[in-house]
Amino acid sequence: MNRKILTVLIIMLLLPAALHAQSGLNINRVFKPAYRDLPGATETIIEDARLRKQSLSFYHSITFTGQAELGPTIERLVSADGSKALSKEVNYKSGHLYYGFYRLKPSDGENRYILYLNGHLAGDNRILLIYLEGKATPEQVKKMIK
Amino acid sequence: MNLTDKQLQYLADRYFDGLTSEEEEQRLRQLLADSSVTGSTADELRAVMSYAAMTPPAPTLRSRERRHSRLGAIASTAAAVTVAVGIGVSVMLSGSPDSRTECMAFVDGNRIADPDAVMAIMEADLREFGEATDAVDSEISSDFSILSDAINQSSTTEP
Repeated sequence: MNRKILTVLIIMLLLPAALHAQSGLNINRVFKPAYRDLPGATETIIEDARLRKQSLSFYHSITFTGQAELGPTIERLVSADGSKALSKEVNYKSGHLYYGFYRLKPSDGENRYILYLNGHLAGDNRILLIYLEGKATPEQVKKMIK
Repeated sequence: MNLTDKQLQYLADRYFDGLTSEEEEQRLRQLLADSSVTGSTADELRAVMSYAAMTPPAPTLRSRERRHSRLGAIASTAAAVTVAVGIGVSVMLSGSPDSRTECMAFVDGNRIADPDAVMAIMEADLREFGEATDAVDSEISSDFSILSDAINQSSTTEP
């Protein structure tokens, strides 16, 4: 199938994700085909009743395995969104962002969070970027991940 | 912004959306091969395109196979476009967030639609982040402990 047509189809299937408040964020770039189609990339999109028990309405993540050079680029995008966060917990290693937990300004009554982890800075080989939407408070999100 | 920067930004936006033609990608590579082309966008493209180059290209077909493949592709594309338009329109028209449901993952370009498998990926991602959270909290506790010891020590040595 023609690559362009296939790309348009995938974009249309992912339209719900684009309609979320995530679409105005810098990190949205990382969820686009150029990143998603990289070897070792995994993208997960969940907008399902199963999230309700965690007081979430939307889960969108992308992980990269064995691609350390993407770290500085993704860090820049995360930091740009994080600079407008209501609250943040960050940890740096060797001058780079290792861990970031950001609570963003709510949108349409939904809380929004960015979770970022660059495992390459701590002996691991994965970069993890997660975007969450929902009624969950920061404490509830923290409880969810522990 | 000069002409090269404008061209780079235009091609970058199309590349990240997966819309570049082969000629545009070639032009993008030429621009990036020039070391005088710098900036965050150029750095990002160099990083992403270097990894993308590791993905093997799709195999080429002989002319008869290509013709049959093209006819089959047109038919399947027409069907798929119809389905995708239907999905897109129904999503846009659906008023309540509760009416939307989506649960999928893409692993190395392969789509996974089994909800249990997708939820397992989500749980693994959150668990990994949780372990890092514990490690960071532990570092902070350790730092406070060191500070506390230092303060206590200086208190006992003060005249």
